[in-house]
Amino acid sequence: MTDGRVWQCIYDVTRDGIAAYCAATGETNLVFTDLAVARQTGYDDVVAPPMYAAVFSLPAVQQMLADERFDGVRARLLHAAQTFRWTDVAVVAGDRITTAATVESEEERGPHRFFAFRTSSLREDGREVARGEWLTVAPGR
Amino acid sequence: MTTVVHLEPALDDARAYAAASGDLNPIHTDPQAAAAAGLPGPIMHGLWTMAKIAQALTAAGGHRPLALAELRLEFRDYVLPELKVRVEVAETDEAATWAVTAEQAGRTVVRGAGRVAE
Repeated sequence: MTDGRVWQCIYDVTRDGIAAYCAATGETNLVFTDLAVARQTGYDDVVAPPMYAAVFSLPAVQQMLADERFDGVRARLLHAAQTFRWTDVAVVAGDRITTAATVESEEERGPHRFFAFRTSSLREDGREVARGEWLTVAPGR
Repeated sequence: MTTVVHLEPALDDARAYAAASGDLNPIHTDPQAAAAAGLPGPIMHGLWTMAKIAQALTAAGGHRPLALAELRLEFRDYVLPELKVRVEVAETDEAATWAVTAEQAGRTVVRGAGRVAE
């Protein structure tokens, strides 16, 4: 599983995308929801909330999970743990984010199978914005 | 300092999160798919709950957009829609580090820690 293969995706961050995400998560911080406030605060456009990292990196994980080696477990996978680390590089509407995903480990614990993935997301200027550690489990029956 | 936030997750939130995030796994929105997966019903996306916790920590970090430096959570049990969740973020002895717990109906559903950029 951990053969060093990398799945990459490109995600274009838009005002509409951030707005839909803010509505779905009940975000009230105006720097994420109001263009004028974001500009007054020194940003070029509305800022993506930190957990938007889960949105712009997800397509790379989904591509990875589409690989045939996950055929037996894909439909049963549940999210067991998640870590994100953010740099001091902001993501704003208009940015293009490239994410690379890799399989870190596969482990049996009792009847359960755990899969650990890593993601790293870069802005167009090559600066890293976030790293993710994803742990999913296929529960034993 | 300790901050407590009460969440009121709803199936409509799960539907909106699915559409906004691209995480369209039907176990979050469709009772039949959830039952087929052996779940008691549709469950909230762990990443929705994590977003709510990130909001609480960003507020604790003075509402700065880049306040959050790290968030590490274990999803220990299902978060079900239509039942309140109590989230507690508590400063620890470690600088800028907050312990996170979330409970729903007496079950611990999330545990972890967050670090706020200084």
